[in-house]
Amino acid sequence: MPDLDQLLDNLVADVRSKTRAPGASPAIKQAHRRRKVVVAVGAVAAVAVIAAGSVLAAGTLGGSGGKSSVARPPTASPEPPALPEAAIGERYRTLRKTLTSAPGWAVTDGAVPDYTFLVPCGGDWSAAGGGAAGAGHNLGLSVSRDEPPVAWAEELEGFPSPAQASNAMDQLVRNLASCTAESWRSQPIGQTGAVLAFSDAGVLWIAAKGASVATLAVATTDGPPPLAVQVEVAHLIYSWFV
Amino acid sequence: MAASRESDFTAFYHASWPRTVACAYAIAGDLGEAEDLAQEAYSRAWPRWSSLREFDDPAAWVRHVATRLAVSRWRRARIAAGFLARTRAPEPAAPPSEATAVLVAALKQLPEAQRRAIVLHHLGELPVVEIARIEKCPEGTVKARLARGRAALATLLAPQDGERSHA
Repeated sequence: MPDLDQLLDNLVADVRSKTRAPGASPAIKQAHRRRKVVVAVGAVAAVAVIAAGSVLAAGTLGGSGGKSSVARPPTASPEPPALPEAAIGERYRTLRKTLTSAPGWAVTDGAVPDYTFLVPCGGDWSAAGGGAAGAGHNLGLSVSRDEPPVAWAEELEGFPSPAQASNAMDQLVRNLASCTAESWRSQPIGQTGAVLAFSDAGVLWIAAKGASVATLAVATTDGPPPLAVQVEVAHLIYSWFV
Repeated sequence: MAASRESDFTAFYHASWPRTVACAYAIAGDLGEAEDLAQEAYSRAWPRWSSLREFDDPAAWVRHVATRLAVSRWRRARIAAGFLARTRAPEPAAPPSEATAVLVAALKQLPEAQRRAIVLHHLGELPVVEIARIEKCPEGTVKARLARGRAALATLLAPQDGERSHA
């Protein structure tokens, strides 16, 4: 009978002797870089909105096949271009204002929304339809650098085709519906093509366009926000992240 | 003030790094990848460090995030594509010992919930009540997962009959 506790202690000791920490400073820089990436994506928003409009008007999510033609900054770029702090703040303030001004609906005060609250229910939806080959972003959206995020946004790009990205989105919705730890329900957001999933703990916007899927998670105990807020946030997601 | 915040975070980072990597490694099964996941978890911790530093055990939050990152294949792929290529040390990490590799291989054979419970409790040093909170399940469920996971590991790590006869 092996001494499991001893084996686990040995594992920690083994890792301790061999691991090399890149350092706290790179981690801090990465946290700052993450905020810059979202704004860099926003810099091509005008093009993205036009492309999204044609797709959404047809009521489909990327059904035409082929890769998205929307130009993107290379996600592996060591230093994504930084926009002025004022521009960063403006984009975040728009989202925050939208999320905090709805009558009778509020983001949970003091909660730290985090994409990880979805993971127990999420499954590997990105593997649907062949999986995503590209990179993605994971973004905590704060007004200021020291302020906790009001929402978490993620974008996964690089699916083999728009149809497969759409399949992945559908799979994500199905995974949420089958979750046992949280009871999730979902509904389409007007004619936007996006889906809103909601539970007792939070609300999740899910949108697909081209070969990408984006989500935006907010902690709330109020259920789905008013439809106007759902639609406005969906459009923000399309214009910023997809 | 900002310098103090950063130095505080840096001290926390270095003190908690090995065990965070160990947790990620026990899930991911690759030491280099575990380092990448741990670094990503710390980058998530920094924006909320003002509140995290007030926690009884802020390292528990980081380990939880690191293990969550580790169980998501597409997140690992994304990280590998971007962030990690920029921050990872150029030279490869030394491989773990054979005993460690065998243990991690056995861990990977456990059902995911049992593996997470074992890793968070025994490597991450999270109490059962905290694991129950983050897993959103009763404490009894966590205890059951720990018991079953340990039993399964004991079986997986026990010498096989053929090996015994050669010993």
